[in-house]
Amino acid sequence: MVNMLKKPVKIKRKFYTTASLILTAIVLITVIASVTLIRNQEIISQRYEETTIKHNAINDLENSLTQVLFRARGYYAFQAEYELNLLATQLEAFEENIIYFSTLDLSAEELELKETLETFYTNYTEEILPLAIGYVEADNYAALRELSSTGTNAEVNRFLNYTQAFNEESAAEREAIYQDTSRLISQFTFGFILVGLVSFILIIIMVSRLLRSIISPLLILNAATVQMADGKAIELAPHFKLEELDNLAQSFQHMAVNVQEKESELVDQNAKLMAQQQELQANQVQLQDYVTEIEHIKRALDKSALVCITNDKGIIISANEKFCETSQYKAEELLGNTTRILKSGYQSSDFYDEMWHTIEKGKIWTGKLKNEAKDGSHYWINATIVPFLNESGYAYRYILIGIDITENKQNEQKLKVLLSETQKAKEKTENYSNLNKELTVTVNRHEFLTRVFTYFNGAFSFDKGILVSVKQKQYAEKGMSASHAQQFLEEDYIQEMLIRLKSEHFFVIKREITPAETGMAESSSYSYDLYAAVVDDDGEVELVFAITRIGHPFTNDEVSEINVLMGQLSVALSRINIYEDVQHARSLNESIIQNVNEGLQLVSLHGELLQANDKLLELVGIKTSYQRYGKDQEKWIDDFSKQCQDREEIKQFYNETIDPDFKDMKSIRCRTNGSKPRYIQLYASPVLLDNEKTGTIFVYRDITKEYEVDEMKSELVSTVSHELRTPLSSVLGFTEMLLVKELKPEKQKKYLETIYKEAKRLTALINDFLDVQRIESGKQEYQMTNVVLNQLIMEVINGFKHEHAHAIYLRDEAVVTQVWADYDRLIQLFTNLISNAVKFSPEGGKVAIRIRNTADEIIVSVTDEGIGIPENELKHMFTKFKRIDNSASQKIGGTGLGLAISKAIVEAHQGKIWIESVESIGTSVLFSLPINDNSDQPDQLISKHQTNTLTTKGNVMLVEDDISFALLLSESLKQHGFNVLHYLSGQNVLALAEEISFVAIVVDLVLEESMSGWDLIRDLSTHEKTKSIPIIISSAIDKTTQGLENYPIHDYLVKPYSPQVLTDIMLTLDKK
Amino acid sequence: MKKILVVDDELVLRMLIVDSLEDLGYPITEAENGHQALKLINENHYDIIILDYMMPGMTGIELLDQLDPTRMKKTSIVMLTAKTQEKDQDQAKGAGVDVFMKKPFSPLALYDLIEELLHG
Repeated sequence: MVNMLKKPVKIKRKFYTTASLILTAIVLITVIASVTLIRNQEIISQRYEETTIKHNAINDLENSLTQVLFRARGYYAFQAEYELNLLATQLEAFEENIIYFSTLDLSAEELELKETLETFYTNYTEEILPLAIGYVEADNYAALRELSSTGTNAEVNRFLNYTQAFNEESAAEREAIYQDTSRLISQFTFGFILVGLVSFILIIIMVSRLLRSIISPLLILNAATVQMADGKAIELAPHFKLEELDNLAQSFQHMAVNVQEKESELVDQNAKLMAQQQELQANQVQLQDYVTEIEHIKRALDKSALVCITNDKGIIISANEKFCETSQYKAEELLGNTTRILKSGYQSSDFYDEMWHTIEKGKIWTGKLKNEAKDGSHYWINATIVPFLNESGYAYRYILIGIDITENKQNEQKLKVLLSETQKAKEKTENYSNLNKELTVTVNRHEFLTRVFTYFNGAFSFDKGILVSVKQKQYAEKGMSASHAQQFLEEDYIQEMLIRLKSEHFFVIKREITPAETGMAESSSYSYDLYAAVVDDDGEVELVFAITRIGHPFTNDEVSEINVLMGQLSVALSRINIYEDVQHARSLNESIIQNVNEGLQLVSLHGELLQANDKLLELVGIKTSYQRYGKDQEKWIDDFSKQCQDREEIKQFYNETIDPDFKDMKSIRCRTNGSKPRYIQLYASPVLLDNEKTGTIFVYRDITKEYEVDEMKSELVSTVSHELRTPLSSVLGFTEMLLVKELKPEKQKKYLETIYKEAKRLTALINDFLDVQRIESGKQEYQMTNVVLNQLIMEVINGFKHEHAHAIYLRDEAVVTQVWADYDRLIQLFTNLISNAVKFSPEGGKVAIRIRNTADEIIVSVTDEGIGIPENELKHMFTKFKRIDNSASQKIGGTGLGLAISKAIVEAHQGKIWIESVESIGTSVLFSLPINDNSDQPDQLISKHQTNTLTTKGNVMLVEDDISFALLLSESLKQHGFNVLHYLSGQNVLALAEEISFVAIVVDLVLEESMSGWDLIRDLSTHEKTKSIPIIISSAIDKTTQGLENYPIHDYLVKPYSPQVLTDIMLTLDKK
Repeated sequence: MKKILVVDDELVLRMLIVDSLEDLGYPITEAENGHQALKLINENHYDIIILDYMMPGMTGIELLDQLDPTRMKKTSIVMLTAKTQEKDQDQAKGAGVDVFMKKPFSPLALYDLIEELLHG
């Protein structure tokens, strides 16, 4: 390489020589060409300038001449001085132009022209113009015209022609100049191009030569380098044309050899170096990392921690910014001082001894230090002290790293306060939640009171107290006597308190302790009564909470807590109120459902038996609870329907109506099985909610009674129809016979009698039937009055007086005879019964109507001696159209309605009716009527008592057709204990007298009937059994002695007499 | 000699029936209830039985039910009744009644009917 640097001069020189030759040639050629060009250029420019100047001068001449002529004509025309002056100026300019033109390099022709113009000028100024002025002044226009058309103008025109020609000439001249210039430039350009080409070719030749001599050796060298790089041996032949390259090649050869020799050595060294370098680099990186890390740590430490380094004596030798900041000392103040200046004195010396002891031994100490800042305030640090140990294991430095935990400490303090507050709040919340628990556990008001009260007692411990539910009058108490507690339920007692609570809701009374309370008192002599109320939405006090504490006032906390709790109670109370309302409504519904006289059943859409009342189960005869069916639709339907006839039909009915799509009402009638079938009308009705079916309600109505009534009605119609048709048949049939047949008169009469009888029967039947209908349907109106029963009976008996075969009498044993009744209906009743008695005793005999008193009723019996009623028929006797099915009764006939009517009448009077009978002996129809307590019979009550106490004295018979008198007599007799038998006529008296013993028989002599009193007396006296019975004559006729001696006449009373007289006689007779 | 039996609990009606038919010239027997009639029928043959439906103790239908049908082949049974509903008629037909006649009835019509039954 060194060789190669020494030699390049030669190549350079050769190159530079050639290049400078070429350059010089080019410059030379260029300079020559340029000079030539500039020269030609100048010549041409000069020519061009001359031509231009001349051209301009001629133009100026032309212009000024034209102006002169123009002004002259102006002058001629206007003859104004002004124009003349202008003409003079133009003439001057013209003259100047001619002079200027004369100075130019003029050609011969131009010279001539110049002279012509000069001549013209002279001629014009000296001859023509003055002449013209003269003409003008003389106003000789003709001469003027003459003047202007003469010779002067010829010269002007010639000049103008010349200028035109000159202009054309000068334009040609300038064209020629331009042509010359162009030619010159193109020639020059060609020359330049030629020179450029030659130079270019020369440069190419030179460069190519130069390159050829350099490139091939370079290629060889390059190949050698590649070989050398590949580590191959190289051989360079030193035959390069250029000396430098030869040297270069040799040097290269040398170098290559050298290099190859050193190379292996280098490779080894290199490898070692590389390894070392890598290691170094790794170390460097690690070191860098450490440094970075340490820097981070330091930065972090400086940011967050207090760092202080002391020597082994505790003297501060370094403190970071944070440390200074926290301790408020400047670093200079700290350095050199011991750490003692930081001590707050909060921690004991033992604490510090222990710390030093630890670190002196080389151990790390950690702990919390309370230090004092410069301003005397204290701060806490969480410190770690690390000792630096020397080789012998002694600490020579200590580093303290601390974190300021003052704030933490403060927070800790705050937290402690907070914690205790939270604890309190928690307890309070627990209290509330406990209360809430208590409140939600129960909906029973009393239990609620007890629980709440117990809770309050636990929470606010008081000496005595009470919690009262004002409206419900329930309470829970502590330490109160029952009577005192009871007082809280009395409105008067708590009135004042309620009024105050209503407005204040809450108040506390402090009062002197009462003697009764002193026993419990410790030191204070005051009691504190707290009253709090729960007020409902209407502002009424619902709940009163009253407690007493002896000696301990209520704190504000307690008071506000109680207030809050009262609010909670209010909510809970309204819940209980709602619950109670709901419960009440529910039990009401329940009891409605249970007590309704119809079976009710609720079935869900799916056929589940949701509810059924007891009545239903009773109706369908299911003994167990409906709940056992649950969702088993098939089972309950089966069980229910099998209780009925038409089982399948009922099943189908259930299934059809339970179907969710069935929304109509439907009803079916069913008859239960068994010996006493019931008829049930079963209604199915959908339960619709917003037109959506949610279930089905079945209503079971027991229509047995209606059904039976229905049946009875149709039976009745049928019977009535039958009963009517029978007499009608007779009437129509016999009438037809009479009309169409020839009959004997006897037969005719018999037929007519039959028709009459049957027609009457028909009428009676219709009347009776209408009566029954009226009475049974409740349409019969009863005109209730006070009725004297024995009188009424006597009158009815009076109506039967033509029944000679029967002895109808009243056996009056009743002291009280008044009833509250409808007079006419009782007449009907007795008429019915007596006529029945007469009818069914076809053989005649006695018909006894007997009345007697019980405690509050009159018992009436109507007894005959007729055919009687078979025992098995007795119970049907009051059924309509019922007649005894025996031959004896067949002959009697009747409507079969009499007893039914009688029964209806008696029952309308709150009485009872029944029949006693023995076949072939006779029948008694008995009934009871309540005594009229409100009658105006003043001594009735007394009499009633008397009837109970008096012993029966005996029977007295009154044969008297004056009913009122008979009753008057009997009244008195009865009051003295006699039974009175009334006969209105003398018939059959004898038969009775034979059966019954009488105290006496009172006979009216004048009787309406065929049998007179005398006849009776005769009969009585002639019969063995009766002849000894005393007879008392009661007559309006004055006493006669005639015939009296023949009879056992005890007395003869002349009407009117006092009933007492008779009674006295009877009393006398009775004693015997 | 044809024989006729009249069964009716109403004496007056029996009289009317007997009088209506007396011109036929056949002996007419009367029974006032089912029991009597049953006894008579079992003891005698009747060509015509005129029977009431509603009778105490035993109805006309109940009576018919107790009769021996084989003995009744030659007997025409006329039911004369105030029961006029169709179900009663059907029931009567079912029990063997040949002619059903409603009360009130025309004696002449009854005469014609019985005559036709006997001779027609």
